[in-house]
Amino acid sequence: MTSSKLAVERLFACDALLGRPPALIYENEPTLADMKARFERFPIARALVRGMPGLYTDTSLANATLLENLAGQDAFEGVWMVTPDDAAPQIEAMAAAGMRSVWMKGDTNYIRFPLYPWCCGELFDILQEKRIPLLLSWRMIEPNELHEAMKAFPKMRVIILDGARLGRQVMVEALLKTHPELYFCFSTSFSLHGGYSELCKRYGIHRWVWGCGYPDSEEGASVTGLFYSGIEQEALEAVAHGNIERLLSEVQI
Amino acid sequence: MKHDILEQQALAGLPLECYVVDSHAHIGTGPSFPLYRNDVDSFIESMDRIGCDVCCISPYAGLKNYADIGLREIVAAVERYPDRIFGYITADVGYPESIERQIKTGLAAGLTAMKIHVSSARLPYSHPNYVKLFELANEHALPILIHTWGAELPDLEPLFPRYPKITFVLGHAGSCQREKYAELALRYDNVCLELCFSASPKGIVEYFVRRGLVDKMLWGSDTNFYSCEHQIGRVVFADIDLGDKYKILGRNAARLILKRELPESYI
Repeated sequence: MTSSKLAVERLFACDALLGRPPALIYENEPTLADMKARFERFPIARALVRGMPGLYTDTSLANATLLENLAGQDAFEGVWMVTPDDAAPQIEAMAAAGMRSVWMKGDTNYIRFPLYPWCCGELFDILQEKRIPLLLSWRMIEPNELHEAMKAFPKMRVIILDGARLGRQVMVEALLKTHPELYFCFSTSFSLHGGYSELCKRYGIHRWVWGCGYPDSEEGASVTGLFYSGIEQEALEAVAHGNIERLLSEVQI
Repeated sequence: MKHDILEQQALAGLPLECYVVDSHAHIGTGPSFPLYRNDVDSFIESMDRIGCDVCCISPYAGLKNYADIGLREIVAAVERYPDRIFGYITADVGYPESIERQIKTGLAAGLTAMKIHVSSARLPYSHPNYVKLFELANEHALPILIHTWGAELPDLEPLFPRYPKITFVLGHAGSCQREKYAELALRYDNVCLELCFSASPKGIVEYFVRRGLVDKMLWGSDTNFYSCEHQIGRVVFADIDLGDKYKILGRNAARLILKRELPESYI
């Protein structure tokens, strides 16, 4: 990607999904090559990538997708999919695969597990200790469960993806006020008028990461949504890449 | 990777240097969607950042059967920024005896287009309460921006030939059933497509252009529920010709909604 001038040096997308969907609803299958080609038009230099099969089937397929597709390159880093039980071996596997973050889906295999500490405490204890970010889709969690989890594990770092589509993030804001290690992704799913600048004013510039909804959404929308948001340059750089780079650099594995 | 001039401007965070019309915006909101900013000054700030010349706004109150309040809101906005804000007339479809008065009041205030929303009175667009509205719009050759999400299209189709002087602007075109939207716009001269959709699904702009509809496509943002800064990227970075982007971003809306002639030199 070359351009005479860029609003920010680079973007780090935090919400990509890679791998075979149940049906080909995209023009191209979301492969590494496709993702690279789409990101190449923009200064999207890095990404956190989850395995698409994890949305529909079990965690092992999600993680196998990442191992198969992301080997031998550094720009796109996998996010290890976990379940609450047998936490230690899963985190060891994550580290062995060279990954530094995890994600969960609350209704894996249609047997839902809640985020409450009595269910996920073993996992959350390790995530908190090792400062491993946990990525959660807002669509797949119960806010009260997240609140209880973060009360019990206040230093656990949680990044909310797929924020609500319309209106202020009322519930997310309530959680942001209470839990200083909660982070939120500015992406296609949340593009409210004045939203990014107002959230930066209210909670500072270090609580946000950026995403572009690959493969579902137009990257261009998320790029202009941030570049034209009117936030200061320091905030722009922090949201675009700085905050997620810092969080990953602080992982202790 | 070579970028066209609009892409270069967007990547630099600079205002687009072409004629841009946001054909779908609102002022006001509903109880479920509290906003951060909801004032016309903030709209102008956003428009200036992206290089948007004109924003076409309907008052949310007017879409919920408080059209008299909505009319006051929108007229005040137009009076404050007459060159930048274009107002849509709304009418209380739930109170059909008010419709003629409200439309005529809007016309008298200088407004020249309408917006309707199927949720306003929970009546389908085929309901008899809409007849007077469509008759007056046809009589005055008004464009109507219509909220759609696919399911309304069968109710709307019989209206297209019945009211040939109305320009029917199908809002959120491609939100689902994109083939059906394309078929209707191809079949009827007085049907065009407005594009705003927060999820920004990949490929819709390119799809409609490939179907030969570039002269009937209008960019809209649905500000204040979404952000114009976000939605503009869908067209700027669409994989289409630069000339097509100019049409979708502003020239088509100038012709179909604003009914303004632009000098050929004005991109």
